[in-house]
Amino acid sequence: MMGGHIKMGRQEVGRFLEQYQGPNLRLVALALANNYPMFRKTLRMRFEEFGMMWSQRFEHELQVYFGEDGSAIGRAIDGYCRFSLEAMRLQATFNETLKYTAESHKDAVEETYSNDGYMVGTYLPALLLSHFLWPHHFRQLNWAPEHFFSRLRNVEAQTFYDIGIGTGFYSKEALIALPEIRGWGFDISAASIEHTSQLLARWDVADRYEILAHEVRPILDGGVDAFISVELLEHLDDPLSFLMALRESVGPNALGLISAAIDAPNRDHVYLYRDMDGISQQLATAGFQVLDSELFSAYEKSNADETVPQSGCFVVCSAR
Amino acid sequence: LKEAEIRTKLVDVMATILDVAPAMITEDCSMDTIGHWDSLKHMKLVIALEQEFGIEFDDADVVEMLNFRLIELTLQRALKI
Repeated sequence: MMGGHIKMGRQEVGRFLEQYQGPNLRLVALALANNYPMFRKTLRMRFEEFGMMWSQRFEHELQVYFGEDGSAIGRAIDGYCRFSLEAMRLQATFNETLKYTAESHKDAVEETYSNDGYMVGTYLPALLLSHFLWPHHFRQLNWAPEHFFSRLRNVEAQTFYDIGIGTGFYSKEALIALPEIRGWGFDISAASIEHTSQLLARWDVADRYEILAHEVRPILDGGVDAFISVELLEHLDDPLSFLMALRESVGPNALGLISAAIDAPNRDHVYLYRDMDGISQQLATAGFQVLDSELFSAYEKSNADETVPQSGCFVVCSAR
Repeated sequence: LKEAEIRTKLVDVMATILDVAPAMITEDCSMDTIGHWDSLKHMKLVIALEQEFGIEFDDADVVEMLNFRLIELTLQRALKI
């Protein structure tokens, strides 16, 4: 039924490959064209937007993580595409209801985190690829070094917590950006812990990192120099209580990178933020001073009533 | 619905979602001939068609029905015509 499409897809992929050499990107392009042709323009669009810096960095990430393993890349693309399809359908429903479908964190845990098959096969590979394939995630990834890691370098930060490690991606970024820093990751998901362990080992930074399978709590006397919590708040029933506990755990004068999804109805998103103010007010109430912030949108609205997935990203300091 | 009615509605929905003149929606139009028809536009088109015709497409069809002919065929199958 779809032979003509695959042929056209391959021609398009061929044009892409002529421009952007890289064995892993080539495998991604082929997996998209052959199995999910509706996404076959994605690589070219990201390249047109972000250029060679994007393709070289993505190729390097893929090389370290997948090492040209075509079947592993195929599974990750499968997860990414299923995840993206679901997210786009949920966005359409959200446009009408302005509500997330998960009733509570407990529902989300049962639906997502405790389902190792879903986590390993779909959720985590999709999240990893989304750092490069979703434009707002890639912009945030590029924002962090200039606006957060540079500050950590200036204060010679030695320690950091990452709360809700997910794929382990931002812990990895911190460990690479700051060769002297040591990290502690907190997460309740066995699949996330396993995935992060593998990711950090492949990047050869695991010796400076320890993973703790529980909620965040103080583990260092005198607090920690820095902390990261990327897209965790929207997964919680009561993010303000979490932020207050986080403030107590990190101690005074810790620099933090905190981001939260806005208007982004994934199956495991529970707490709805509608704008940056909703996040910044909770940060202030919990005792964090906002030093810098940025809003990243997945795409432009086509009309005033349309909702668009966004990420609100903040650099904060815990007050004395 | 008759085939002609389906086609008329299909052309209208595609023209609206893809933001092109109805005359651009020909039997040969596809994701390759309409440059800004990307995955996001495609999903908006799918959802608009589902709402217009009161159906739900399988994801296996959604990811591959990337030209007018295939969309029309898939639509007819879903409507059991």
